[in-house]
Formats: sequence, C-alpha cells, structure tokens
Amino acid sequence: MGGEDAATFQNLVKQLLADGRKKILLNLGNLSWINSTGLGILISGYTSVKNGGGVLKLASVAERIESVLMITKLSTVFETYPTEDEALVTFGSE
Amino acid sequence: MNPSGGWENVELVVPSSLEYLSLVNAVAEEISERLGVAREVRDAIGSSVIEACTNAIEHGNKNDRRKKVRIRFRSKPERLEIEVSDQGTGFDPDSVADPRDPENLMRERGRGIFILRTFMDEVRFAIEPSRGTTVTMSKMLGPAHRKEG
Repeated sequence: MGGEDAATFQNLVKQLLADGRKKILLNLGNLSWINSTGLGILISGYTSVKNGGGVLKLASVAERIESVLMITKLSTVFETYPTEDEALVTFGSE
Repeated sequence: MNPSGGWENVELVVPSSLEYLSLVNAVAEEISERLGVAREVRDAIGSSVIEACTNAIEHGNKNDRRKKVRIRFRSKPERLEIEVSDQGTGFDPDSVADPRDPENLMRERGRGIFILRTFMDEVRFAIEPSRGTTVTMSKMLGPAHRKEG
C-alpha cells in the first residue's frame, strides 16, 4: 500500500459519501498483510466516513492483520466481523 | 562444516518502492516456514520485516528508487536475525510517540517502530548519517515458537 492506493481509496470513499452511501463495509478478504502505511489509509478512510456522518466497518480480516490492529489498539476503533454477512446484519440495526 | 558458524544467510536487495514489499514478505514467510515456526511467530516476523522495509523505503530513502534497501536474514534453529538497511540520513527512533495513546490513536503515521518493538524480541538501530540506517531485529525460536506436531 502506498500513495496511489491512498488516493484511490480516499477518492472511492468520497464518491460513496457524495452518493449518500454512508454505511461502508470493507472486505479485506484478499489482503493477507498490512503495513503502517496501510493502517494510515484505513484510518484516513474511517475518519472521512465518520466526519461525513457515516460508519465504516471491516470484514474478513486475516489473523495477521487482526494482530496488528490489536497491538496498535486500532481494534478499539475498527469494528471487525468474520464475514460480510455478519457485518451487514449489524448495519441493518443502525 | 558450516563456514558461517551455524548461521544460514539469505540476502535480498530491492529498489525503494513499496511494490517490492510483497516479494520481501514472500521471502520472510518462506524462511519462517523452513524454520518451522508457529503461525503467530511467522506473522510477527513478516509484519516486522515489512514494517522495517516500509520505514527504510519511505523515511530512509524517501521513495527514491535509485536507492536500495538491503534485507539480510540470518538464522539458526534457535534464533532469527534480520537486518534492514537503507541509504538515508537517519532519524531518532526514540523520538517516536506511543501510537496507542489516545491523542495519537487516530494519527495516520507513527506506528512502524512500535510494531517492530512489539513483535520482535530485540530491535537495535545503527544510524550513520553519511551511509544510512540499519535496523537489526531478532526473534528467539524456542520450542514454544514451533509448530505443534
């Protein structure tokens, strides 16, 4: 993950918010690892969504990424769910 | 007789671009696999190597692809050492704030060194402004770190 990824992700988040889509679920199932740059991208997205009145959650997070979220205490920021379906259920109640 | 005193060495040199992190990660995982470590240890090693390289690429070499990042894995059955060297001007590793503090938690940067120090048993920095920074990390590989069975 680097600068281009950050810009792509931020643009996507902005577009979704502009379209009125405020419940955003990121499926990280294709991601087996993450670095601090990637964490920064996730935080940037989370902050944008929150400031836009929405909510961003994570699904299918690899154990390796979970452990990074845990040690950095970002597990207290991001809601994570084992599957998309389980995450989507929680959106329905909000 | 092993001329390296029981150490096995693997070296990798990559340009300063984050796109090479997948390659570095693949090498780290392969070495962990050969050492027979448990999944959590393999993940800790992989995350630490990736983080050290991210630091070297972004903060050391400032994403200048002409500058190289050298990664050296030295392993014995009971210990793995990893050196990551850049060609930057160095920094003060002790100046990094705790990213878990409430005032830092939502900052987009400043977690790399914390991740290394949390996942590895020893982390040392050798900073030579004229030559670059080398971070040396080690992980003990006792029986508790092995795969079961």
